[in-house]
Amino acid sequence: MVISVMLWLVLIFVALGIIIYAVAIYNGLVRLSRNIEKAWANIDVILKQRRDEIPKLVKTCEGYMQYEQDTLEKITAARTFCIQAKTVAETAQKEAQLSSLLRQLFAVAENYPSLKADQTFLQLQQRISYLENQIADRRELYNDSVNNYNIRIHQIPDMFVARLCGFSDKELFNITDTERKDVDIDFNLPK
Amino acid sequence: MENNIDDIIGTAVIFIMGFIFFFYGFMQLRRKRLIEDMPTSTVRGLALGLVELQGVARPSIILRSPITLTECCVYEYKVEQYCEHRKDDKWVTVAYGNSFKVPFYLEDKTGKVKICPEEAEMLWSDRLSYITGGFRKQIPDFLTTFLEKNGIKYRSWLGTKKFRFTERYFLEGEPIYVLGTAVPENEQSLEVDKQCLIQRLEELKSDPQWIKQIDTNQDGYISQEEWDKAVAQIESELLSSAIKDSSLDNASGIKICKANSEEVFIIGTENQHLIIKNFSWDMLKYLLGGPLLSLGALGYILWRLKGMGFFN
Repeated sequence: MVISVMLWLVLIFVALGIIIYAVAIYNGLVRLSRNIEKAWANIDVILKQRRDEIPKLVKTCEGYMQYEQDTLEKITAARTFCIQAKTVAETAQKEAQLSSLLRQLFAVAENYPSLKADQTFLQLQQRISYLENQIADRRELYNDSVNNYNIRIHQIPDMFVARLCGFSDKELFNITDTERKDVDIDFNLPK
Repeated sequence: MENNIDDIIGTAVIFIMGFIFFFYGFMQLRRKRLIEDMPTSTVRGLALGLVELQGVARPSIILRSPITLTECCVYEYKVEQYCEHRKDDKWVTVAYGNSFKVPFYLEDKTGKVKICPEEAEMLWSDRLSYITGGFRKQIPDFLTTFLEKNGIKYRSWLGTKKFRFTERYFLEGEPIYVLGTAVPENEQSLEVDKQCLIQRLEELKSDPQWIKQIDTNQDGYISQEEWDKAVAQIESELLSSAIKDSSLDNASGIKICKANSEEVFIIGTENQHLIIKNFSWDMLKYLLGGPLLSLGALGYILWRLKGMGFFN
């Protein structure tokens, strides 16, 4: 009698343990998944802020850089493509192209002393550089969140709960070296 | 018979406690996973919500820990006195204090952000844990100074009373870990500044040099006018320091504190791996200890009931 009651108690603890552990895993995966969404939203806010600065930058540069119209047009087009991007990979690629073009513009601006002395241009340059650093920091945070999540859903015992509840891999915000260098923009803008 | 029932009720309480420990173990597991899953943010990339940061501590105003007078960013201290009674010898807290109302900064390579340590779970080790005094024993001078300043009588008829001194603090530049909620700064920051002022004045009040300095007419008495002037000077010093801080502060407008929506706010001197390791040990202790306690208690209850003839 005593032994059977004790055995029942052991079984109760084991069963409770398994149920609570499975719930903890599920909740953990939901939290990780929401963290990724939040991290992405946080990047998106900064990307939008950077896109909002570009028309001002182009307008400021136009007056000084008559011979660099091509670069300015490319930047405007790249901004439009960034707005149209839907997936993480697409956004990453388009935003990398925009960053590359902006770097190119700031490099070319060195040849225009009057532009370099313009206060608005300097402020915009500083603001965009700051936003780019913020994007880089938040991208790192986003990728860490995705990495943590992807590792968890492939680890035992989380893997069982993840498969049962349909958790799948998420995309990293990756920028390849080719994407960084590739600044050829197709000008077939949507009408 | 009555003794037996008392015994059984006592053991039943232990049985229930075993279950509580078991569930507490799962709570620790949840916290451990939260730390593991939370990526570390930089100050520059900080966004509102639950965040994890690692960097070094920087003071908003330089504080002095009250017992050892060490310059630090945040401190906590406790003095306990050993009270001997016939049956019940125990340590009784005679002085306790902290600087949790005064914010400090966490600085990483991208900037610095204000940390409001109020309501935080502080994971730090004792910098001073010292038992001293007793029959025919002397207490070191720096400790007697503290006791006298706080009006605590320490002499007994044959030596001194027995005290335990505990002090914890973060030094400037010391690595710290923070898991808390980033919220926009609002009018509350003015309240915090007031706390800084109070803290600073309390510190300076115990400095005889400063008292001498503010006694402009050297009459050995601080008039209301002299005091107001001194307070205004300290206020202006704090303000200029705050202005200097905000210009360096990349995350100006954001502070890390405890939010109602999040149950965690951890500040620690240990690195993330050590914190996770400590949580893992705690978790294991409760997850295994809880059921063992319940099993033991149940076994005892059943054995007692059997002895009382319940299972015949």
